[in-house]
Amino acid sequence: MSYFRITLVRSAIGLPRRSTDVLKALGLKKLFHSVSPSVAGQIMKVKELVQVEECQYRLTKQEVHLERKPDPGYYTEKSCSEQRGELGGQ
Amino acid sequence: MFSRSALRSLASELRWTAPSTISSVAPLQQRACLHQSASLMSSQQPQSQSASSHPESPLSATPRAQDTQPTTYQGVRASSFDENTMTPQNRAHVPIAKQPVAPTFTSPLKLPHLAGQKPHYVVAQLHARPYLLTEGDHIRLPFLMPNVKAGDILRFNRASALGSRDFTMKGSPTIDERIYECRVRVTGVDAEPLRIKEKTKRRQRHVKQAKSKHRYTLMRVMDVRVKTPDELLAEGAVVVEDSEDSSVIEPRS
Amino acid sequence: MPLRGIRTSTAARNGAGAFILQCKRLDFHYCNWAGSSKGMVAFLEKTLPAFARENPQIEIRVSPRPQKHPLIKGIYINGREKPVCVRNLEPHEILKKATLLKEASGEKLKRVKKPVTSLNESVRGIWSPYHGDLRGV
Repeated sequence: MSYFRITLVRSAIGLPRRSTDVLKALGLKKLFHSVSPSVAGQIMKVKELVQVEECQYRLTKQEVHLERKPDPGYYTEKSCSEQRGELGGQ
Repeated sequence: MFSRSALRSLASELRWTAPSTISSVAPLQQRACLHQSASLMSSQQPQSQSASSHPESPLSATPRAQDTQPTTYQGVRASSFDENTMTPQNRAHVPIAKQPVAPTFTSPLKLPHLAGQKPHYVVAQLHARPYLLTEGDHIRLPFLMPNVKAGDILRFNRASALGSRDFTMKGSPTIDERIYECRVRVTGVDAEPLRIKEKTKRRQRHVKQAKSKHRYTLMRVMDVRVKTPDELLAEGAVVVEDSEDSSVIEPRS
Repeated sequence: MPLRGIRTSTAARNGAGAFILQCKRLDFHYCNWAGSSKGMVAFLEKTLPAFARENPQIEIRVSPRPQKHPLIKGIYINGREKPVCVRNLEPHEILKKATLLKEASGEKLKRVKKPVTSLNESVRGIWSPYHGDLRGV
């Protein structure tokens, strides 16, 4: 099962009513759509506004969030209790 | 809505299951080349040759998570992991898509020059925010770091730049963490003075006082050090001679 | 009298090499009679021994202070002290206050905007318009 991952990259402000309605029908809060002719046609209609990728899995909201989340950039090398343990051992 | 703790637990699980070596996904995607300041050595060697012969892959071309490891998700949800240890403890906890790629260098290698010239600075990225650090600096993070105590030693493993007086190594976007060491000691927790903001609404006499007093983590930079090529070779780095007369060092942990 | 230059002395950089916790002493005051000390007395009996064992570098003093609300006072290496009144608090809340005093730096609370403060000279040096290559404007 493959899915379209659709992201709105430009706004439909000022465009004809029809493209706004297509976007509404696509329901872009729902990021993933299964590949089907009707969805493909809708994407075709607003192809200037959206970015489409094809992917195998439907990611959950958490996983999409995690993709965007930057790395913390640190890790704990030695905690204070470990250091005290080393001092006690000497 | 998903709760924050659920997100965190999922994050830690994803990090936990990421494989520990990065060599498989590091097919020279980015080239961290050594730059130099203009005045001293600009006459010796033009630096643009590396960029022209090996065009950098654009940042947007980095593979998304679901492309690289689509099969692991079912296993991920089933695996259990302690939710409290959300700070990554080692390299294996960091998702593979977010690990920096092994560096490559153009010939002649400038790493000895950089490693030999003290002092060094590092631009460390914490939660994608840069902090320019030198040895002995005092840091007051703009947030309270979770799950750390006073006296803990942390390693910063995301650096966007690393340099000395005349040489700078730039990462795209980050430098491989195995060619430098940046240690930091947590020295305590600080707070700001209590802030009181008066909240008013129109046509009402009631004034609400919103109080805030944030806490911040204090730190001291213990050392900023660039490893010399000898150390890297001792740790298992491999020198790969490229066909286009550029030597490539790929550190392996 | 000849003018003398200011002698440089080493600046304190706690944690760069060795690390000393800034809090050196915690004073716990309680009252045996008053109801506001109820949580404090329970804390002293139950939680304090474990807390003291975890933090051997801190001197802990417990003393009664009758007819007054219970108090925790942290004394720091820089000579300052921080008192926190813990009247009517539960033992776990008091433990939070004690941890706060333990990890505090002892400095007066200030609003700081820059995250990094450095005593070192600039690594790359200060830019000068008169040095380096001449560039066309």
